[in-house]
Amino acid sequence: MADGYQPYVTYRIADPIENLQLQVILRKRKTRVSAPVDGAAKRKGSPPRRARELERGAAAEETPLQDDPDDEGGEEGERRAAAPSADGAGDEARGGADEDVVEVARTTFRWQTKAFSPTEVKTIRRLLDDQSTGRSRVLSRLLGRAAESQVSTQMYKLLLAREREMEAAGQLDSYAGEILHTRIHSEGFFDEAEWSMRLTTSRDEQETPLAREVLSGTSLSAHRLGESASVSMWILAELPSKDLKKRGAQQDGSTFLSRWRGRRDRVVDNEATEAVVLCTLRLYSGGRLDVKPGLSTDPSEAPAAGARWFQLAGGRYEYKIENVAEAPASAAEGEENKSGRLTRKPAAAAAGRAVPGLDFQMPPRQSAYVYHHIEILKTSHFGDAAQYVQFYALAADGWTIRPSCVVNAVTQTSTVAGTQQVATFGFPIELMLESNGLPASARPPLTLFFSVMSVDLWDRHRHLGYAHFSPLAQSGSGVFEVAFWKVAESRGSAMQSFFVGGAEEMRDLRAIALPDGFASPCLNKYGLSTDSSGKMYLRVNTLLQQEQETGAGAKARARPVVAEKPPPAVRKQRAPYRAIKDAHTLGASSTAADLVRRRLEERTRAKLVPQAR
Amino acid sequence: MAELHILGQLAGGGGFELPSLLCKWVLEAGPNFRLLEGITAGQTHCDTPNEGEPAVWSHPMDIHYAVRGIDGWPRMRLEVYGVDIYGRTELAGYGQCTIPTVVGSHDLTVCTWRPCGSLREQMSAFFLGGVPRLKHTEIVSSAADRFRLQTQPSGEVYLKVSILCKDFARYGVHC
Repeated sequence: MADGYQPYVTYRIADPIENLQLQVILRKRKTRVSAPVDGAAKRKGSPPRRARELERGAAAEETPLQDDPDDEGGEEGERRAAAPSADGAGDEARGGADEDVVEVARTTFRWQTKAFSPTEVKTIRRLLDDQSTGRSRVLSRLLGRAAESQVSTQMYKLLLAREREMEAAGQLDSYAGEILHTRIHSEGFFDEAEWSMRLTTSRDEQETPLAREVLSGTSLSAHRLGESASVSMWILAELPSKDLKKRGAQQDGSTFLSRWRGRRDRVVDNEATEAVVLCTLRLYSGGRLDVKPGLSTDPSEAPAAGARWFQLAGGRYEYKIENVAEAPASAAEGEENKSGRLTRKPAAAAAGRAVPGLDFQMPPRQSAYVYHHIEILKTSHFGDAAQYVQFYALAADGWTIRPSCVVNAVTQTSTVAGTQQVATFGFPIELMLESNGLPASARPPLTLFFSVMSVDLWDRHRHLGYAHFSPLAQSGSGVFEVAFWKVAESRGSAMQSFFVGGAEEMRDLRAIALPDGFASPCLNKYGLSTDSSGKMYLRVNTLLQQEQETGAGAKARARPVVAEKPPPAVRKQRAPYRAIKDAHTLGASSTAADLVRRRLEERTRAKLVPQAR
Repeated sequence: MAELHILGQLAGGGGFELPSLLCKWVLEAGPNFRLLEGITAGQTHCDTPNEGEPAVWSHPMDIHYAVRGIDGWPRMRLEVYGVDIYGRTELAGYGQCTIPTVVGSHDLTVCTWRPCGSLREQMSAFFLGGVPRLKHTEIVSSAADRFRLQTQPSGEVYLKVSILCKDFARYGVHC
């Protein structure tokens, strides 16, 4: 993976994913030894290692000393990775002219298309040879080929299909694999660097038990149980190990096993190589596509901004990822060639209406955007044990949370300090909601469910409290205090919690607030016994966006909607945000007091009518 | 296109263990926010306050954005460092806060935290210095899971921010 911290970038797919065409360009900087390779690996024709080293030594003599990346060390590589170069087209053009930048490979990938690496091809061929010579699987295991035996029949078929394609194309050479290759969803691949990544410089930081299980290979696919439903694909590059290591840099991964796995370089043509993940793609339902580390060219930015080059560890290689289907189509090309376009999530509002001549995203007609930025500041009075908070967000009927938003997460584990037992989190929650037409209910658009949990010295987790919070759909800022409660413990369960750990849990967190779809006039929670626990402090910033209705037409439309005189709070609104105002009106007219008053009036009228007769 | 002005200052910080404090700050915004004027990153001077009083930085901010959408509202990422009596610069805390979305003047208090190491590392840090740090400070303002991170509360940073918005109402944004 690219050097440095690379988060996922979310895009929305406007067309079927099959139209996606990701072009990956890999180039090598500050070297004059590698000849350009187009697609397939041409390692057999490369000069011997000793000769290449001599050639590189001669090149180093020609270039100034400070330009040699080998002498720059790991820090320089990190510095460059922190600020990815955005030289774009100019740099790319320079890549062709300047001998110091050599394009190593350029391949265009389609979704879930398998491309084999040289190591994979050799492994599969070796297995085929073993089967043909009758060597048993047990013997293969004894020879240290346990992992190779996991190659599925699907891979055989894919490789054979690839070779047939090459034969049909008239290429007589056998398929030797490609430097840029892929791992598809059915292979059950996982990015080892992602699972073993360390967040801090502390030696105390360890891999989670799940990560240990996955990395040790005992449950390679178990981690998929907890993931949301998605289809993944990885683009990798098989490169020489010596070019990927920084001088004096420590390798990620604290355990012996991960270090051993890191050193377990594969050997191809007597040269140690290593497969590094360049790009991870995850496709979710609803057209959400997460790309790590994102596309080099942001669709929402101007083309003049240039493409970013992501740098690999070691600082010698860098690569660029672009959606070729996103390239401007000529007039001769049909509409089908314009497909596969990706849209950055913020620009997804282009599905709504844009103001002519202006570039501000506007919501669709008769709908609204509500943008909540909530920050979990701290908790207090939850006890002495280290704590963490987990939350999930639920949108009310008629509202949709944008797919790019994180709707559930877990904060860090914080120790407590002070007499008030304060644990600090500073965790941001950014949620953007879109109403599907006019709101159908008076409920707030968003409800957040919180659960505070503690971890004790023996790594036992227990619930300390539950709460829900519904920020108002009104623009504003403020700090809110949320009180928590927990399920009351009997004497037995309290003793069990003290000695064994654990606590009584809520099975469905939605029951904490008004249950989803609840329509009864009375919510009775009498059967639930609870104890009060601590407090949480939230800083909430909210923005509303809706098209302003102006003129007599808006007044004429708004008049029949308001059946009753709105309460003073609604009349004080500074702008006629109709969707929100309707919600307030609905809420004001459907209270229990109104219903009782109406029934009393009806009864009074019914009594008066016979008297009049 | 709407415009957003962020004026104010990093007023100071208090509640940290170290005597002299300085703060590095970065203002991050989404792709809908384009910087027109101002500096979005900086570092304050190192202030040694009187005992029991907060450090005073009064570091000015004046930033002007052109805005294309409400998504990706700016947020500030803070790194507080302290200098002890031996001249060693140590991490004091990380924090982040969202710039208020409401027009007007705001006094913000940002709670900070820092990674806590093992008991051995804490002892080592006490005698020799060198508390654990984040390898990637982007985690501070990221909404992704942090379940592997173990932290401890640190001090607070005080911000005075004034927000000015232009043409937001024209696009139906109420702030």
